[in-house]
Amino acid sequence: VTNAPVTDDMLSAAAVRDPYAYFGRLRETAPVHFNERYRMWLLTRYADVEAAFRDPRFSSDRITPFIEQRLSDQPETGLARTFNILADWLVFKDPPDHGRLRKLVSRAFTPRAVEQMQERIELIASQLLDALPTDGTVDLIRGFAYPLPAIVIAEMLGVPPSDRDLFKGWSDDISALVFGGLDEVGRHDRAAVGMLELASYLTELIDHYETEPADNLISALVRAEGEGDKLSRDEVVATCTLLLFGGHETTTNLIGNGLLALLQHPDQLDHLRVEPQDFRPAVEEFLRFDGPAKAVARVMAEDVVIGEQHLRRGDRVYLVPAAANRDPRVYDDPDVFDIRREGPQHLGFAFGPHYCLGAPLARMEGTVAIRAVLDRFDGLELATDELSWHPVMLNRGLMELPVALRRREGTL
Amino acid sequence: MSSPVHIRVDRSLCVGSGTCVGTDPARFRMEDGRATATDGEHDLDDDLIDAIDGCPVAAITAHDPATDELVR
Repeated sequence: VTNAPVTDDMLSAAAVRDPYAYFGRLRETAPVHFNERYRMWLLTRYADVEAAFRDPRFSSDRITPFIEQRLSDQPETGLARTFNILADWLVFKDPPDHGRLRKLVSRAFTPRAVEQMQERIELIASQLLDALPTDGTVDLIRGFAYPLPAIVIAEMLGVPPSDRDLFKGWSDDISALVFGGLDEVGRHDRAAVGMLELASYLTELIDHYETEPADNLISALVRAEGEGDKLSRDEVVATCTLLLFGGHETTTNLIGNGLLALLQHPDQLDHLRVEPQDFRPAVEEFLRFDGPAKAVARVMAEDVVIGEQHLRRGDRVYLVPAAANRDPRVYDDPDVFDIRREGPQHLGFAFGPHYCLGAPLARMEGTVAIRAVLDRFDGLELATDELSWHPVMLNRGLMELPVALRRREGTL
Repeated sequence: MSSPVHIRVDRSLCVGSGTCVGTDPARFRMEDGRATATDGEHDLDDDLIDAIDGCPVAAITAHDPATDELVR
């Protein structure tokens, strides 16, 4: 750690490649820092990030203020309609609406509910691996880490398999908006197109399951909608877009980043082959060491003073798990990857009322997916010296994970 | 009618999502950002079962008051 000033560009090539060095330097030199370039606060110490996650003055609703300030004079544009859908996303809600919506959706994602899905997820993983070339170099993001969670969430919701490919484009468009921050005007239009096409597709599907209910999440949401004022139709559509979207991007990155960490620490990869029960702490270490959530955005609902810094109502704040999860005040040797590490929970799924609803499913998918790869191939080697990361502020994910595969003898 | 149970919350696992408090406010409350259960014996009714099963980190368990055996 040096005391050199930190560049204000969180999207510089160096900061995208190694956010841990970038945010780590802030954590040690300026733990409550105002970034002038993007005009937002960055909280990087574990104690501050955890406290902020629990503090309702750090509001999750960063959408409503944007609609009021920037879109009130153009209510009928695609962008305004996109933001109205986003405003109904659980992740952007504050109490009491947040609790009401979350309770309805959470039943499908509890550890017990997710346990029932393990065999199905194992089968999907196995079929995806069957489809990979038998030898040679394969991009495990495109061929495996991306489609696995996309198929799982599509099946949970009730999206027919033939329609799945439609979602990648829409999800990518929306991702640029949600994970990129709200700054660049150019990306808004593309995201609006993606969001509105997705919403219109889902509206048709919701209508379908309203007349012909089936055993899936959309049918369950429609049923809840029917029970009085629990859920409005707009909220059903918004919740479906959120779940589809949430099921695409972040779990892909958990699988991709986890595989990468193991490829870079072959002794620990070998250990998991022999002691698969250690996947339980290993998944937590994937999330702590190089998790999908670099930062989580909040907006100040009231003034708050932290140390000598005065955060004002309306200020934007990024809580940075990528820094907090490597805080030396909390973890010994925080920059060391150790799948058997013990210690406090990482903040990769946040903390408090917005703790990731999909966490049990993500843990299950991460474990099943990576274990399936280790079981299938006895030769696994990273096939590049230059990794490319998505250049976005909130998310940490690989564009490609090229791996040289050698199949285990006796498997197909 | 189910037999009574003791409720236990593992506060080292709790992530303060508040799901249990929302589901069964009579038995659970938040303390310092983490959940805690009311002492004493409780019926293992639907609300309590939902709170136990709905915990995103499986931090809540119900135990037999006499034997401490895990009931759910």
